[in-house]
Amino acid sequence: MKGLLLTTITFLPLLGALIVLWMREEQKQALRVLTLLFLSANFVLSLFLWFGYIPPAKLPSVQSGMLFLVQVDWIASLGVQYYLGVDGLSLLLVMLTTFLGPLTLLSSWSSIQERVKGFCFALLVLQTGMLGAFLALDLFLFYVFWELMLIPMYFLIGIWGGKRRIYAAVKLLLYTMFGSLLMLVAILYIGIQHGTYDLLKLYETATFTQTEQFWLFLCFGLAFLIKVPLFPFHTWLPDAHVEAPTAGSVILAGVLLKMGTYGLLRFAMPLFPQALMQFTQPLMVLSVIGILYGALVAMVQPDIKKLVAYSSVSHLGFVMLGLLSLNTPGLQGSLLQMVNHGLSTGALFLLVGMLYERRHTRMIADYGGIASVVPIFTIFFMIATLSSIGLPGLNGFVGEFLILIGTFSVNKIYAKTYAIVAGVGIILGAVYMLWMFRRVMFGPIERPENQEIADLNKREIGVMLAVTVLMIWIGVAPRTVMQKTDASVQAFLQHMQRVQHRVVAGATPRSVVAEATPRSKRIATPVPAVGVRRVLDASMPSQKTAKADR
Amino acid sequence: MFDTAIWAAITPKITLASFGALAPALALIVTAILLILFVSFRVERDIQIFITFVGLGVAAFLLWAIGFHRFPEVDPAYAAKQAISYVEVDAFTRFFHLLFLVIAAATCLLSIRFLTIHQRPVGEFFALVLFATVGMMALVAARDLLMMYLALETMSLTTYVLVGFLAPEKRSIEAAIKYFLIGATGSAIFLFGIAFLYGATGTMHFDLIGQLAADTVFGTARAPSGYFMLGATFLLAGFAFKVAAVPFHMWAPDAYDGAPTPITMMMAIAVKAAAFAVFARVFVVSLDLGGKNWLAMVLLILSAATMIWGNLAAIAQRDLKRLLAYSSIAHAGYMLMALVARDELTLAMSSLRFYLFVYMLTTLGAFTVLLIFEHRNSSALSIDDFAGLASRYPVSSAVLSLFLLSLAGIPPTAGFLGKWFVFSAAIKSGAIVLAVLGVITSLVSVYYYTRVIYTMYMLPSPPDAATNAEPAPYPYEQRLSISLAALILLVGIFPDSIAAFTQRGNLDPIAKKSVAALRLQREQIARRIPPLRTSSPSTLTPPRPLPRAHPLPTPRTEPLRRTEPLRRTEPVRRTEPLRRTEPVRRTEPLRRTEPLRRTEPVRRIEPSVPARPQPRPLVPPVVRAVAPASLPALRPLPAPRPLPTARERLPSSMPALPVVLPSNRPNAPTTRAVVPTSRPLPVSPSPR
Repeated sequence: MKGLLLTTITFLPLLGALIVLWMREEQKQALRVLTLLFLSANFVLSLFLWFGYIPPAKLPSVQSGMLFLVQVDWIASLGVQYYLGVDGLSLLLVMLTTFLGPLTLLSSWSSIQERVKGFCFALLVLQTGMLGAFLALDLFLFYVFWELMLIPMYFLIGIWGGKRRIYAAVKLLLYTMFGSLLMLVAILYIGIQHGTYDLLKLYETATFTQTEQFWLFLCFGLAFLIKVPLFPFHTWLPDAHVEAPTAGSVILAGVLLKMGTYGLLRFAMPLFPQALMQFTQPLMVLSVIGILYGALVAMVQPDIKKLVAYSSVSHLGFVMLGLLSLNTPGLQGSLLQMVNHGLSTGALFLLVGMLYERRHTRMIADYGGIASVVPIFTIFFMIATLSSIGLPGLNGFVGEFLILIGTFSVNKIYAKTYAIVAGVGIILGAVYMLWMFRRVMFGPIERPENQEIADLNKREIGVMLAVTVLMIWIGVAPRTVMQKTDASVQAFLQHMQRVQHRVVAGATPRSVVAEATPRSKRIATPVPAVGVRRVLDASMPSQKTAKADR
Repeated sequence: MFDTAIWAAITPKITLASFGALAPALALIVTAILLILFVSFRVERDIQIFITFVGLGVAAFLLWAIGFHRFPEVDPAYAAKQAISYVEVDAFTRFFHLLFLVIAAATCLLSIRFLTIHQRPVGEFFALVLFATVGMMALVAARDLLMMYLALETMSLTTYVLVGFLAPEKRSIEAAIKYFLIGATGSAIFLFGIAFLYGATGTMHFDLIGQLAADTVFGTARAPSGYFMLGATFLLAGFAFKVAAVPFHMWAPDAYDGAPTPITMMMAIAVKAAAFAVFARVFVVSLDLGGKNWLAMVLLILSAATMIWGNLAAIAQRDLKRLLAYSSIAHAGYMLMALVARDELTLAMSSLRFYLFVYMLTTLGAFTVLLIFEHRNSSALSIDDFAGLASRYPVSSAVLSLFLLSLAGIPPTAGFLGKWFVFSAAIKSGAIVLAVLGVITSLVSVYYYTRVIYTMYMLPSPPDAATNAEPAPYPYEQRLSISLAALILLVGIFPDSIAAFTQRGNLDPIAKKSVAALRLQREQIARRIPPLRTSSPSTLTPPRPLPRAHPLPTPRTEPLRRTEPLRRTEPVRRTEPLRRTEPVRRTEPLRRTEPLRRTEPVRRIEPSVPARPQPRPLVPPVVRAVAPASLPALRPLPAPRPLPTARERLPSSMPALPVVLPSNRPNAPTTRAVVPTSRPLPVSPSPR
């Protein structure tokens, strides 16, 4: 019965899409209402998930944190199962997805007037693809959902996008497909080697030689890092964001980018721990480069949307850094930052979309002084900007702070250096966001058109209010969110610690074993952390015990 | 004078039931002849169409019905006794027969309106299609090179005519001439290959050639002669022509482009499937030399080249029909991948069939939509003309997009699963590089398939285009395409029943009778040749042999040469015991024996060896002390052992892992003691 909940959440949007398919193109309002109904119902359903997810306080393994499991044989000839489950790592992202779903539709209520049917269809299928990818516990199933969400996104950008929409859509498609096709080979290889695609079983039993780990991690990692996007693979992102319609941008920034970091967390890191060790250092360097590069490039953008897009590169660098630090504050911070980025960047894209709908330009230079014309808009824009910067009291602060703590408490000089450099990235973030805000909002009104901009209507205020409430809530009471993830994070770290010693007999070079020792000590004592304060207190003794071990 | 008894013994008994296996093909022949008669007696067109579909229906029924009956030809024991069965129908064959019938029906169905528009007669066209189908059915059922050639020509000649059916249209004539010339060249090469193979082996029967090939691999006959390899290579080239593999593909785009669209569809699916089926049979049954050899290498290169060039060239195409032609070349590359992976025979052959089945559904659907557009646009099918088509033809565009996504292999369509099966066969058989190449070329294909999609959906309609919604003048084409699209999604999400269907029956790498004959032959040879006394695989002999006091008793040259190919043979590699030898090979038992060799006692023995009176001078004790693997052969010696051997110094608790090494000599010792891998070998106590 509990398994039914996940199945319903995943496939309810698809059901809606099928119903939409049978409606006529002319019934625009009916189409929108129906889609909104399905997306909202899905959000309400996922609230049951949120309140129903109460894991035991101490988890012996990652598997035991998985609740609401549903496991049915799907394709017997391939050994593929229909296997869904949710744990602390995916719960937040599922909630984020269902929360943003209705908002994206509401934001495009008036801006999308052509081919409404196709738009609603794409939005609903996309929702199913994203939710399925977050919930799937079978590699094959995951891959199917992973690809399923790509096609609607391609159409969203390509049909309802801006001038260079086809270029952006094809670029998105090819970049992402390149990574995922390599991942396909890796999944096939794992399936053939171990005879199962069951992720939880693979957690327990899978052993790979060093060479296998290297290549498999590379294949999986490339797919996810392109999606994140990490620094050298990020070039599709600005194009896609700028050309996408508002709904596309919000989903892209809010959910799709998280798919990459979530994939690393769920698949690449726990399955190939030794390869992760090899790659940690370069990946951390790339994350830091991404943070600085994204911030610096964002600073000089004349286009608001492109600026926000590049800020995503910077923010996702933080998330990567937190993941790679592999300790409690780092991971907690990363999980929280994924949600935060979804909310604040999503809010920014929503606002930019609203502005564009009124003035049909996104150039910073075209605005100036509109704060007095659109006061409500300005308030929301201000809150979203500050949240993106990481002002204490808003959500952005908690995540970035935890990540920096996590990175800094890694007992390596280089990690501490990265934490410091990333801290500079936060300052740069404040610079480009506030500078942009000043140029758009304050100063004299130079263009007469700007006098006539209408302020937000009730629908838009409702959308923004929902996001803002959540931003403030997470900023003030992050405990309420983190207590859902805490047990799973601990279980994840314990799993990482356990599998790092699972060396394939006779095939692992000695150097890897030697390298494994210090890192395992680093995460030797999992920190029971609920809330920022306790993390701070607890992370210090963990360092001491690590030193005492030597 | 005429001894009926002898005659009866050497000829198979041909009864009416013997034709039963080919009953579907016979039904088609009867229908085709009837059609020709109808044409000459000017029977009404509708009746001609009717009789065609009745014939196809009867054939399908017969195909279904004979599934319940075992015909003498199907019975391997019967075939083994006669050894001259030229045609056999097994589950593998029946799968393809079904596929051909479906395609023949679809071709006829789709060409009715096409022929009306182009004002061509129906009867001859349908008769030719049926004859081509008969050729394909016979081709797949053939068990003999000559039969195969006849069937191939039946198929090809009718197809040449069909390609040129729109004459005197210039494109059609050009396509037909080009196809005919190049196809005839291919046939000639084919025939050349057959001649060489016949010369090298003295037989044309697939199984007998396969037996000979197996013999050469098993080492009971001489290595494959140059003629054999030459013939096989020619045959390979001939098949490459027929399946349009790069670099033998040049005819395909032009022929596909110029042919009537239903015929293009038939060529892209049925002709290709028929060629692939017999290709697979010949290369699995007859020409599989096992492991890495010249043919396997060529096959691999063909597959890689076809995938790369087929996909790259498709990018440049501006015409949907040509694009589909190149894409069908590219798909031949993926199907060749299944042939490359034939070490994993069951998986490879089922994946080939699954891929062909999915490819049939998808390509059929794509061509159906193409025909809908073609009828509208009077055969101008430039992709640029598709701009904004989605707003005018919403259903057809959506369906075509689905087909193209399936061809690109994007889940949850069936095309994805087809690629999944083929890639997993390739990876399982070790061709990971080829799988990666396939994946990357798939990415290229995503580009050109989606180009069609975005032209339809994302580009604005040209201003002069009619703005009306999709007209429905082609109900059955449209219904066919929609149901195919639904089928593709259904197979993509629930593939189990289709997968089970494609796994039914398989090719025998060497037919059962050949194996029986081979065993007999081996026993005879074994009786003649005395068993060898040397330890066989070189991995067990020390790298630096100790100086031997005496030469080994048996001459080593001849037997060793013979044992060498053992490891390469196909069936042996698949047996359970051999897989167990792998860890043995990896553990390097030699390094572990080194301390043994270095220990004091042994070194102390050495000088004493010549001093002792030897009971059997032929077996030096040094050999006994060093190579534990050779011990079992030495153990029966009655002589008293003056010194402890290596084997005796091992603790008795250590189990000796029995590893059965394959041997073609039954008398040879098959169980040898091998140092177990998991435990460290105890080093003998130091002299201190």
